[in-house]
Amino acid sequence: MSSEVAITIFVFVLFAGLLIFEVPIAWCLAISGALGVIMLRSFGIGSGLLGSVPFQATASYTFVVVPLYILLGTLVMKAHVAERVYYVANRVFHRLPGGIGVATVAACAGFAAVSGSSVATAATIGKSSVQEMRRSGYKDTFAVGIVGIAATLGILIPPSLVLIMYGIISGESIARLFAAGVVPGVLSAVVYSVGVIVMARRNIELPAAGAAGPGIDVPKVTRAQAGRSLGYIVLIFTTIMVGIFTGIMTTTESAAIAVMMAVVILFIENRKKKGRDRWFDFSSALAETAGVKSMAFAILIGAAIFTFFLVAARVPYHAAEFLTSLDVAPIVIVVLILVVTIPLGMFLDALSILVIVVPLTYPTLVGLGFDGVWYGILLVKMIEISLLTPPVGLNAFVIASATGIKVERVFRGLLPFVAVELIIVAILVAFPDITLFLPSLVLD
Amino acid sequence: MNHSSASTAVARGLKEFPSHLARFLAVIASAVTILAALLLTAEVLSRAIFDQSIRGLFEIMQPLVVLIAFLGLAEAERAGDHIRVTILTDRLPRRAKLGVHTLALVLSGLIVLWMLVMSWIELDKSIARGEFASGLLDIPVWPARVVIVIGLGALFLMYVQRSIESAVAFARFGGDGRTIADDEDVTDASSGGLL
Repeated sequence: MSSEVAITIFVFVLFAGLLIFEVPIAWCLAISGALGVIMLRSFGIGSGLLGSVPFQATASYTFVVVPLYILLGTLVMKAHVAERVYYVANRVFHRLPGGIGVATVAACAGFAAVSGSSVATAATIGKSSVQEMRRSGYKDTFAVGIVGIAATLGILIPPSLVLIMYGIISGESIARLFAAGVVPGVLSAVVYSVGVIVMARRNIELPAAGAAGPGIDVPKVTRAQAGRSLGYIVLIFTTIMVGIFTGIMTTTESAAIAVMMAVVILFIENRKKKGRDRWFDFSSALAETAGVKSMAFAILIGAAIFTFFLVAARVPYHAAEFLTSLDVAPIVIVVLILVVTIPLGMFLDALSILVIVVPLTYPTLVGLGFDGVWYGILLVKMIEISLLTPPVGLNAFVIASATGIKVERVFRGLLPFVAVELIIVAILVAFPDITLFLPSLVLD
Repeated sequence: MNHSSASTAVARGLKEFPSHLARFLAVIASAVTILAALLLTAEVLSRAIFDQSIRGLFEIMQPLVVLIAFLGLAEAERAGDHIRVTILTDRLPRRAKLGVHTLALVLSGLIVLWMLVMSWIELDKSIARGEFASGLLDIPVWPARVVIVIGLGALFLMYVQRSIESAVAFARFGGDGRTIADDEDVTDASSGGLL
């Protein structure tokens, strides 16, 4: 065994060891990467990375898009847009079989168009929609399954924080990634809705008294509030998309304008509150997101140091050599990589999967002639599955917390929808044009 | 105020200093995020109305991103935003969990201390050679490096505070073999949920 291979194994074991003992992933990546470089090159180079990378990995005009989209999602959430859009969707779809379930999917898709977070979507829409579905006779497991799967649209339909991070790590254009997320996002919403309609007969019973469950208080929504909220979504999403597609402004600038719109929207919605109360949601949105923004940057710093080690140890080269030596069609390699992300997703969160998988696999797949944007969308779909599978499926925990339903039942309810999700991934793998059609049309 | 109550107040102040510092720095980071959004919006409007860009905005934005990134680090630790995997430790008996938790905090503190020392050395070099980010505006790099040192320093203090608290809890706690999940409402296997 060469020293390069032995050091690489040591670094990965150290990384995994620190990770399972609760050291934050950002510092796991930084220290294992730096120690690897020290062993490969010298103490000076490895140690120097810990001083130089924090500046190099953050001092970039492009990266301001990360805090802006994190803040946008929280501001819109504070303006109660999600709950009110759910009201509108419910009015439109309630006559269909499984109509309230379809409305939940539509509302999540709508909220995803202004928020880049699945967890935020699950938390905000989960409470109201699950109560409404239970009241209408939906089984608990079916109701939470619908919310859980629909909430994953948050990281696929632009703006998406996971797509932004993928763009930063891989170097792919964020504008192209956003454009590529639109059609698969709409397709996913349609397939989820069809899945809900198909499963509705077996999972909806006559509503029983008290079926809504105890202790859940859903706020009243007026038509004016609902109409305004729908308008806000259209306005913000159109601004972001028109900005990107027409070239009038960059992705970063469109994020900034969307944030300023969200600030105005929040104050419009809070206009009847008095004095300090009017500012409370705004200041709490700023306070809640300050740490999250830094956490995202800390992971980027750790990932940059770890990637330096990977390149120094020629790990992507060896990975490419191994994968291309397999006597299989290139598309099988893509499928293999996607399959590997499923067990990873059982233990790691979305960002952790990205910072580990992308530097290792992206160069190989692009080298094999696959489109990096297409691969990014497929990876996001696999990350969506990780949000739904035990033991660390975040969406399941958030929905359990919001609705009071046991997390085991939430996971059980999500299981059929994971199968639906895998069907969508298969469609996207088989037909790359579904993903690449829109970015090619508007950006090439 | 007698001597003992004064010293208690000082001790409490020292104990709470890292948390207060974290919140204070996070307020600055948040304000800078809004400032960045305002500047970028002004840039778009300036181009649309006056057909002219704001001079040097590209260069101005770089240190602002550093500020947003580093001044919220300690707050991320205080609020539990840093992503950590707790799948193993959640299943440990309480005393073992506290022990592992303390060790993780100490290790995290040491890693951050190493980064802090190396960042300080980079800052020193940057000032000595008069490092500039060149562009339409020549902006000195050292203020951004000062921000990195402040952010990492505040985070290190936060780790020291939490390590001590966790070690004290570990020392006080008797091993009864129960898991932490028996006593706490564990609803989330990893943090960093907003993403």
